[in-house]
Amino acid sequence: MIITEIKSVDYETCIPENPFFVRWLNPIGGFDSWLFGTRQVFDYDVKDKDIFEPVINYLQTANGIQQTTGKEAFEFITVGYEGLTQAKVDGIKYVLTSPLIYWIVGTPGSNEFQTMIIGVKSGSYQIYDNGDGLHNMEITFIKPKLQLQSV
Amino acid sequence: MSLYITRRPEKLLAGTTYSRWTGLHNPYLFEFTRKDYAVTSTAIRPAYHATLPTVQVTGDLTGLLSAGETIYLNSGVYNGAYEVEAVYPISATLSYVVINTPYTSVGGSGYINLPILVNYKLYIIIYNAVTNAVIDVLYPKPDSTGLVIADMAGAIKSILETEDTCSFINYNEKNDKLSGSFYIGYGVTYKFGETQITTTEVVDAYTYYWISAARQVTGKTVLGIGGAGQNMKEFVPYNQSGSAAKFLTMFDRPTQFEGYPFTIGFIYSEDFPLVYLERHQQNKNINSQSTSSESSQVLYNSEQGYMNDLLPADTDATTTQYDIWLETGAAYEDGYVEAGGIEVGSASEYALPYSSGG
Repeated sequence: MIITEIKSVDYETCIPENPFFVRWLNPIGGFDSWLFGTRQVFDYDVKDKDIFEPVINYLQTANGIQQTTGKEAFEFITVGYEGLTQAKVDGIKYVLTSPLIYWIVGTPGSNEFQTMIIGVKSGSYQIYDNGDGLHNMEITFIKPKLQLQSV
Repeated sequence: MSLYITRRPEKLLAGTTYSRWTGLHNPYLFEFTRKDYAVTSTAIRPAYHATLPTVQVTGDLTGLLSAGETIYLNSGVYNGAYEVEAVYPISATLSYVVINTPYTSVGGSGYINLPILVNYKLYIIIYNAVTNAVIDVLYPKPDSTGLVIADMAGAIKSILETEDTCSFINYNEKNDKLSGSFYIGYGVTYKFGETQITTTEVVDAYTYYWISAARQVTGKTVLGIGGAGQNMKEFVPYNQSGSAAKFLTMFDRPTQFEGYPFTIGFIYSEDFPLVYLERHQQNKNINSQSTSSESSQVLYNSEQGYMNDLLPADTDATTTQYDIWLETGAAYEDGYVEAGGIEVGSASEYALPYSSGG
């Protein structure tokens, strides 16, 4: 006796260049996934935590009057996908509100992979109509905060 | 002196089967009602008062209520706080209470709450249904009508761990970090005279399930209180014909990318205690024609009672899409024989026949 809906799943063998595979917790408690590609843009956002001015007793031997206590740095990656139907967009958009997003890195076809928790950069979700009733999408993910030295 | 659960977080699926699965990121509400004594009816009873309504109460109110005090009465048209005009205890199971309010009509069955019980509070103990460990204890107070709406979500969130536990190896794997179950025990505590009384705990008969989901306002208000609300009803399969539970995906048609891990989530509900579940899959080509015969795979029943990740079957070289669904399989007592195994009691029960000389 059938006890669930019969769900049709697309099986995509055409893997985009520079694949970026994401799996996220959706609002109804399951996991959804998507393989982004198209182009990838990397970006850094580096900020000073704080600046202090050390006491300078001998100006003739000083090499500066300011020093940062540390930095904060985030790495971003912008990915996209072309030719999406509205139904696919409706599924992917829930990555924006997910509290748990994994970037899965590994060898395709193997069960050996690593996961990394990432986030979505605010305001980075963009969707364009390509004129054929399909959509091109771009989204920027925030990779884990970089571990940096401090003084 | 009674306390009742008057509404549970459950929605009817079919027959007598209920969905007790609720999204944890919404209120997880139980409704309790304090009912100190049952009321049979409220009417003019000339033996006690000629013009004021008299309440017939099931119980002996000797020493519990006196004239001038205020009671909460729920008896049809008489619903609210009323001043007591006179009290007439008759027997261990019968008392009459005259209330100081104009008579309008006969009031039906209901209950009264007495003012003598001071500092009246519930205690609700929330237990993990798997380990029986106490998750939390709540102490809500009833409102003036005796109603308590208790939200379990905050307490249960203390055991929520937002983590993906799927290994992508087994056919189905539970996620016991993002779903689980609990049951409750409850009672009341109040001060009676100088004595602090705590009633014996009553354990509710049902197990309730939670999943890390956040349901939305649908706008389908025409369904009223009968709508699903925060209940996961449409995602809960049940062991009767007509069950068509949805998978836990926001995609109309999910996409599996070749070589990349893929699962589709479902609720492995508690309604299959004696029967196996099977994953069925039909691979298709680009023209939606079957590329192989339908495959089936028995699922691990140890994962029941949780949200599960379901791994699809292997695809063919020409597969571009497939249909996937769940069916009930054999009953537990029939057993299943893994490939390469030998069924107990069959002709080939012994791995090496004696005649082989082995």
